[in-house]
Amino acid sequence: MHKGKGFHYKLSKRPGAALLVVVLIGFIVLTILSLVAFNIALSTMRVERWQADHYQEQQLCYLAKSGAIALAEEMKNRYSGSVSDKTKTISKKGTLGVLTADGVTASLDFVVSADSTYDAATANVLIKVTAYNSVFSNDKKIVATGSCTKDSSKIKVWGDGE
Amino acid sequence: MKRSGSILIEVVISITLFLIGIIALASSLSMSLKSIVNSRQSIGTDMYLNNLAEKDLLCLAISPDYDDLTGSVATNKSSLANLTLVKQSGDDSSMGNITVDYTLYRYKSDDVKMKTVFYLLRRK
Repeated sequence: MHKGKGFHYKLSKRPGAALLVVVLIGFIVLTILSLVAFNIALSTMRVERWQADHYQEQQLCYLAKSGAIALAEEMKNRYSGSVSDKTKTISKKGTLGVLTADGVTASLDFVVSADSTYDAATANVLIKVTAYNSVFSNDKKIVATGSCTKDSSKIKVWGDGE
Repeated sequence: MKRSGSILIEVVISITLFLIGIIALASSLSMSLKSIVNSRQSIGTDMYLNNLAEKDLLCLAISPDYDDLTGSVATNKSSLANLTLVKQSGDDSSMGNITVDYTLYRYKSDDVKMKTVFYLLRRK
């Protein structure tokens, strides 16, 4: 009772205090809302970072796969005419550096191997392309593996990973 | 009558605090909206270019001599050396080292603000 009386006394003496308390509570509610908004912004940023990573992977994947398709065409042109080479084992390696005006840098490692099956139509040519997103740091890597035959440049089977 | 100005000070402090909160919330809302609009535009462009590049890649996979690529040939500012495949041990074919000439095709929006870009390689 004594406390209640005291509080009543204070409010009656300073009638603006009630308003101040109400506004302070409003301020706390606004702060909580802002924190929620901040949390949502952080989550959005996390999603965007994932998207950027995925975008880089996609860039490398397109470079690797188109490089493999072009190489398969070159291999067909070189080996399908040569009767003796159709039955020979092939094993070659090379690296291609890509540096674009947009700042995209990539390094593509090509490995080509083909078995020595007598029948060229069933002699598999395996093209493995490993693409790195930077020539210097090699911090992101995509592996695309394509399989075709010595007398056809069409890649029939695609594989990913090591 | 002696403390008649005190309520005015309290009201002013209250309004100031309330305004600070409202301004903070309004600016964060405006920033969020701008970010969402930018993100939507960027995702739209990203998807469009991704579809173009993927379509061309499929066309090349089906027919390597496909001629109607939608991407533009990358300018001289981009550097692309020839690929030289070096013969490894176990290779008993008659071909020595093989050199492949590539052309770089670029998929990018005309909008300068959009950073999305994809590339495809093609044999010259």
